[in-house]
Amino acid sequence: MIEGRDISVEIGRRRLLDQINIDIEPGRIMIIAGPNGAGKSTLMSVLAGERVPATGGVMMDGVPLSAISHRQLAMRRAVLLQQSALDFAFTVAEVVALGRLPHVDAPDVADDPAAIAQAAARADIQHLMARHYPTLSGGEKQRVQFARALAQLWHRDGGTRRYLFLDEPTSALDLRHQRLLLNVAAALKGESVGVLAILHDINLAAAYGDDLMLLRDGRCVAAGPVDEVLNPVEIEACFDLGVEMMTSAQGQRVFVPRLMS
Amino acid sequence: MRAAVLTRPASDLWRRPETLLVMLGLLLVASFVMSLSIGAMAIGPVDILLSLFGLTSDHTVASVVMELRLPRALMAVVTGAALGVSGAALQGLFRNPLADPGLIGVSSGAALGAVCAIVLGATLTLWLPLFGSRFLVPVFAFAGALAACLATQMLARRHGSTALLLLGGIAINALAGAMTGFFVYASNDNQLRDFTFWSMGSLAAAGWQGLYIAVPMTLPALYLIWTSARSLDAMLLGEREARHLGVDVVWLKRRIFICSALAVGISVALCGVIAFVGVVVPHLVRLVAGPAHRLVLPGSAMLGGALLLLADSLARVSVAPAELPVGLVTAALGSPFFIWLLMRQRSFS
Repeated sequence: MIEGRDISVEIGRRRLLDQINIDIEPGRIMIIAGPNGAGKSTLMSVLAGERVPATGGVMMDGVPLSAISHRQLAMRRAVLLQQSALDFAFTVAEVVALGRLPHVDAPDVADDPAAIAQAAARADIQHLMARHYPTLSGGEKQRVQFARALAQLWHRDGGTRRYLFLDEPTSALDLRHQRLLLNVAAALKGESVGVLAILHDINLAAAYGDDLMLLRDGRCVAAGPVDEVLNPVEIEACFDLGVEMMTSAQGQRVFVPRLMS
Repeated sequence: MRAAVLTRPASDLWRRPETLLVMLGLLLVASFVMSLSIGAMAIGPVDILLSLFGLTSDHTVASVVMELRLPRALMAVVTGAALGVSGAALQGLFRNPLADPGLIGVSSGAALGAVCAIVLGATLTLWLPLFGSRFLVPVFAFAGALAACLATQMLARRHGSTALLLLGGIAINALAGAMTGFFVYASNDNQLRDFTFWSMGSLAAAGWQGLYIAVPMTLPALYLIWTSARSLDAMLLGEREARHLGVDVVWLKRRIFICSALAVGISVALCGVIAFVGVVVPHLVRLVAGPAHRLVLPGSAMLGGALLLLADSLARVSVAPAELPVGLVTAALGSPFFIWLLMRQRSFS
């Protein structure tokens, strides 16, 4: 489990995060949602060990992040960032293979081809492997980066606890690939992976999340199991947007914004 | 650039790189032999081989090869490799295919040191009789190169950002340029001429003594850069991405920076400023091999050495019995290529 306790981040006088507590458990998907500038990406960078909080701290399976080397961390935690500007003409296969970098000297390095093949299949990019990365569309690039993160986390025995952080992973994807990506995240739950995802689409959060945290101005508006947190009252409190809740014919809860006056 | 390699089939991925490295190796050997054989006195490949193994009875041939041409050719290889590898590594670090070793201040710092030694030479040799006047310019140029790099690094250190490293390099370049200008202003005609020739680069002064210094400093630095090849690949994805892949980015930057500064610093100190090898060579290698550093770094070492050997041969024979500064040759050939690269770059963005 990754536990963030009492996390506050300040830049100058501005408080970006105010005493946030968050747990990411293997086998569960934790969603962070909130308006632009709420501190979602900042929180993710703290949990990823990239930014040191002003107060509070983060533990991974009982060990403070500061006591874990970059390499050790990278062997068990992968991060998909919002955009990646890669202008050099790597092939897609080479980009995905970079996900194995933390495992270079590890005994399971012989499994690299298996890891890369599985990641490519899950991200639906097998047909792109020989293409050059800069020639891909935005959505294809996002899927390649997703495959790289999957390759990084791949482990021969699925039992090791691992964590996948996704910052707006569906922002450039078409409808079908949005679902495919989150289906993969859901499948990873069965391989002791804990997923942390920042999503803007409340309906995707409702369909795939186990837990949800709503952030606004660096504060936690609401947190808990998705079914409890996600209702019109909390959504309006977080986003200043009225929504109607409906139930689809298949029994899915769907949120539709009211017309804004 | 990309159009040419777009059709590179995936199945060739593992075969092609080795072929390229072998070809570059052959090119290097061919350039090396050619460089030894041409000049005021033409020497055939057989005589060169005999001289190299001390089997020739012709003492003139033996001494031309062993005392003049061999150290000069070796220096060209070491310098070309240093410029090529450092250029490739810094381009990776800055994630910019147009970056040049000069960006971190190494050339302008060396120029300042060199002009300082040339203008104040007479006074300095009185104070420091230990250095013969022969070594004054290289020692000062090397000190200047390292000092400028150190200043750049310290400017960027507080935030550790790559953009700041680049801006710091620009600032230090400007400052060193201004100080160099003062020395040039204060110099007499002879000193001005000396400095002008130094700043165009030349391998004419290359000898065994220089190699005894250059080789033990350059090779370990280049080796250390080579061991960072995979981390440099990750840096191309982005600094944050590299970090999340387990690369200690701060440490990597420092290591690449120091090794490049040492390798380029020693080459500038001994041979002067040799333009465009550092920026053009890695580019050429990437055209064929793609951007993976495990190929780009050794490829740049070999191509850099080969190109500098060829440029130096051209410099020696084109206006014989005089010779052109080799930096002039590389700049004259390199800058049109660089302009072409820039124009291509625009059409792709």
